[in-house]
Amino acid sequence: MDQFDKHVKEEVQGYLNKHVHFSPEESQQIRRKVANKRATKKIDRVYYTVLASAIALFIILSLPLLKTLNFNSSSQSNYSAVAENETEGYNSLDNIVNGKANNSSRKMFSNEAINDLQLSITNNPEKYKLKKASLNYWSKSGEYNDSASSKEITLALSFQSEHNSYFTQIFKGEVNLEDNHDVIEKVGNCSLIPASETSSDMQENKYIIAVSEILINDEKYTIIVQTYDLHNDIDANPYSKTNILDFLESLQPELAVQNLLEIIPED
Amino acid sequence: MIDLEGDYSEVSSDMILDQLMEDYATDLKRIAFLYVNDISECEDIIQEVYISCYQKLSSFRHESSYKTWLIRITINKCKDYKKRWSIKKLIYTPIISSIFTAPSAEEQFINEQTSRTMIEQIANLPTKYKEVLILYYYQQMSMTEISEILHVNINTIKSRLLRGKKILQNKLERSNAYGPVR
Repeated sequence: MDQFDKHVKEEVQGYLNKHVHFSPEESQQIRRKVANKRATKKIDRVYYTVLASAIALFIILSLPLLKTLNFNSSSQSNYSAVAENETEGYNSLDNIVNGKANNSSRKMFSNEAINDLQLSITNNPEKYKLKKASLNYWSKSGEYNDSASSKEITLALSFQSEHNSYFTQIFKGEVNLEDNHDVIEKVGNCSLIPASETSSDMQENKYIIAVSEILINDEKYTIIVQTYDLHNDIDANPYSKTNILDFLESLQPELAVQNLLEIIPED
Repeated sequence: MIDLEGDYSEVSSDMILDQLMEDYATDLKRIAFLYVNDISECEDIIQEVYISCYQKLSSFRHESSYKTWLIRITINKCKDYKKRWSIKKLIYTPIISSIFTAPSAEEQFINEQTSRTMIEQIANLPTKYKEVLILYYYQQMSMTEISEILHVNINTIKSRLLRGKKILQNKLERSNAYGPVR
């Protein structure tokens, strides 16, 4: 370990020892959650046992009836096969969302759906390629796994340009940036959050977040663009104002929101 | 106190969980904090780590120590959490955490700023360097141990450590908060 190592180690450990501790309350919370999981597991076991018994009973009772029906018709079997194929190949947004997406908190789009989105929501598809798209479900409680009843849906899009990646989220409602950020720069309708809120005026500011809002049918929608490293998936490096604004301007917010509106369940 | 690395067959999962929390929770929380640089997120992560640990206790094969196993779960949870990082983070938690505010004296403030900047810079490193540096600086693990936890070749770990240190050093030297680090 050299001097630099020692310096970093001391600073880091000193800070952590002072500020980061595991409290008895956290420990209690974990015990409570574990107990809840255990209870849920027992209920699930009973539920599935009852369900399996019901299915078995139904099959046993239905067998005599099924035997009386004619299953030798080839046309019926072909029809079933075609229907299955159609279902598999059908990749419209409605199908992706209404048919399956409520099963989990995050649903990735198919390549075909991504291509459709790419063409519809950016006016510079050559420069900004849509690489990933998903629907994320959030609840007001902040709990991640609350998708089944969630109406807080975010359309999440990862774009890649020649040098940068952009993580874009579109959702109904607004965010209160003032609560979380001391420095917010306004450029037209757009709010920019600089990477370092304490940087000096000598350096050109770099930005990590750009937020813009749009009003559609008297409802407010928010579009958030965050700097992003698509290859590492998570780490965001700040971009220049020109970079982040150019990307934001290339988006067609009305069409993006339109895509989201097709997804949100009606009240 | 239970000897977790000894005969565990007679011990209930609840007791093991309690012991694992007593032994490692603070360390794991600090690793998570270095990774995500957000105190409320790292509390959530630690909850998930221990719930996961409880659910998998019966299938734990004891090929590594409990500590190694838990660190591995923590790092994976941190990665998952970062993938989920999006609007929730923006709405519910500020980027500059509230624990960083309200210093009581000027000197303490300057020291806090230095440590804070350092932790922020570590958290902002690319994942592959960050995870190596956290285990090296905070857990003071050897290359072999880090390699075992991350399932990465030891030579790769060495080069990531060197490269990560270099990036961190450059970032700290460029930082306006204080002068060059020696």
